[in-house]
Amino acid sequence: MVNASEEGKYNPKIREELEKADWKEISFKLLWYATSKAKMLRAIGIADVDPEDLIQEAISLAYGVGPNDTYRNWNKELYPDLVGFLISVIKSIVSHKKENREKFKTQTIDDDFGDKDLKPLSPENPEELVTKKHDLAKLKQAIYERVKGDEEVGMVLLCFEDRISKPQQIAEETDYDINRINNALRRLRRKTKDLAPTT
Amino acid sequence: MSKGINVMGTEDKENPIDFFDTLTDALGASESVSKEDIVADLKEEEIDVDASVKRILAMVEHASQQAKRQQLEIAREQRLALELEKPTRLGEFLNWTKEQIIEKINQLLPTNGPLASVSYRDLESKSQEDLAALLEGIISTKEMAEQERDNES
Repeated sequence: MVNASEEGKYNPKIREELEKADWKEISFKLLWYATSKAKMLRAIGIADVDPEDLIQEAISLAYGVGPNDTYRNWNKELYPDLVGFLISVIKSIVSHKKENREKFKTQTIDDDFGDKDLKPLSPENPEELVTKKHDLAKLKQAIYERVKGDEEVGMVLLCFEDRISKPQQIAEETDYDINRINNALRRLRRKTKDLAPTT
Repeated sequence: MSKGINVMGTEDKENPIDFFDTLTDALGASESVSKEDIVADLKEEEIDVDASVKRILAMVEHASQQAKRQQLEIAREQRLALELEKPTRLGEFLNWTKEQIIEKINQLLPTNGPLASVSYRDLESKSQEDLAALLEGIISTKEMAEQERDNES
């Protein structure tokens, strides 16, 4: 996130494009992404966030009216379409929340620090952190177990290990047709559904 | 990436959070999924899609209104700043000689366009107060034009 007092400034021209956008179409996609993100954040014990809060903050930042004069400029070379841009904003909000959570863990309770919207799932000490890492490894293992025998989903998971997330890139990496990848993702979604309740 | 399936071969990967980050990015990637599939999926998650979309549209409207108010506020502040500068600058020009003011006006006027026809004699015939006000007007117009250009870029 960029603060107005930092280098550069918000480009108000972006607003003209935001005003023309088909927000109804965009809403479905943002909701889908934010729900997936929020659900997994909860499952892995990072935070309990409401998907709509993530969307609201992303929209405010894109309009240049984020909290404490924060904003995000749309780099069209990196994100040619608006959905991609807004998703990148949500990603950065989530990573900011994760960073804050890390800092929060090292502050005393009296410090007015950390993200007030962020509700840590549990207090953490070093032992708990080790346990959590172990739990995450177990959770990951459980996902692998669940998809055992499904070659396509197995390949998709291997792509995730290499931090490849875009379906098109996964298709190129695995030499599978994009439809096979989308179907594999759908099966994976179904199989991981009960990992965390929807927030 | 190795293309063999190794369902248990995950121990050597460092941070499991990275894996889950990538997984959620992929599960939420909508570029090749139809709207119908997205809606069906969200409904399966027991999300009231229509209500959520309505709330998101209201968020957009709210942000848009906030942005407009912010823009108006910035424009108002710029106008006020220019207004506040005026008397000081005008007062300063009144201390200049007529020749100094005319020289400054000629420096600032474009070499073509309607104002270029203002001749030295036209300026000479004006009082010092008129010349000071004219110079002030030219400078303000230029500043506003520059400000607009800055806002556009």
